[in-house]
Amino acid sequence: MEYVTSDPDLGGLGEMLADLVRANIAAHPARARLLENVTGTINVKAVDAQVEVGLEFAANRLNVFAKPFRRAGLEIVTDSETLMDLTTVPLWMGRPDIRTRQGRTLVGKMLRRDLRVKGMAAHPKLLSRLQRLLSAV
Amino acid sequence: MALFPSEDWLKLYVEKINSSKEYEEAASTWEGDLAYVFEAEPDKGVPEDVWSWADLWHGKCRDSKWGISPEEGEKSKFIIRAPYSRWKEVIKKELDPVKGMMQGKLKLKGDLPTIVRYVKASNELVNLAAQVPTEFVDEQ
Repeated sequence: MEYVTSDPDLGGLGEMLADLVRANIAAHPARARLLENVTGTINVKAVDAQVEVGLEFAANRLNVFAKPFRRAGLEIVTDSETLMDLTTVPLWMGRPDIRTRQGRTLVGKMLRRDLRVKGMAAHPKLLSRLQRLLSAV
Repeated sequence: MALFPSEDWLKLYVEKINSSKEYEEAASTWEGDLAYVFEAEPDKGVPEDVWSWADLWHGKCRDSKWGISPEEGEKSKFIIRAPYSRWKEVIKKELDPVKGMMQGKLKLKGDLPTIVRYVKASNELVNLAAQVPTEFVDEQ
């Protein structure tokens, strides 16, 4: 079963996200269940690198596209360093664990709008699933 | 002063790695060898791809090799490659390596979850590369 599909011309950010999810599922096969019973689209943008990709949860797969969606359910907009931080922050209930220094740092960035997650209130499940799939912790 | 890319430069780089407390701390649990590929740019004085190798282990560089074959380099746990001029930007700290990877300017092969867990160590390796007194081959 192929859990992650990707455009052939993804580029750096898309390849990193796709490879990270593939590697995490290979190392922790139970994480494949995070792709089940969830649909939706997410745009991820690294502002400083000027790159943006589209992710789609559909049919028990994650599809990674080189181009963002015109209207995605979720949009994550931040700098490249913070995107990396999102993959290494300890999680609690699928969210950054504010009991840790890294978790508090990310929440601080959200409050300062250095990390913007649009659609978080409407799509909490989608965000939680993505965070767990990307987590390298 | 060492010419980049060259074996002399690699030796100075390894000396920097092995004398860095910051790197030793950030990579104290790192285990894995790393191949650097400086891709050819004939018009800039790099006529063919150059492979170098560093055996990084618990915050130290135990061994290094210059000019290894691609077959040997491909056996490394991690491989990072880019054209010569991109490496020059990284060494001069004009290109952040994480940003460069997201832009597809630096290509990484290896277990990505491991790499992202050691971003601080990776950044320290770049800082150390920037500290090597360097003369670039296209500026001779």
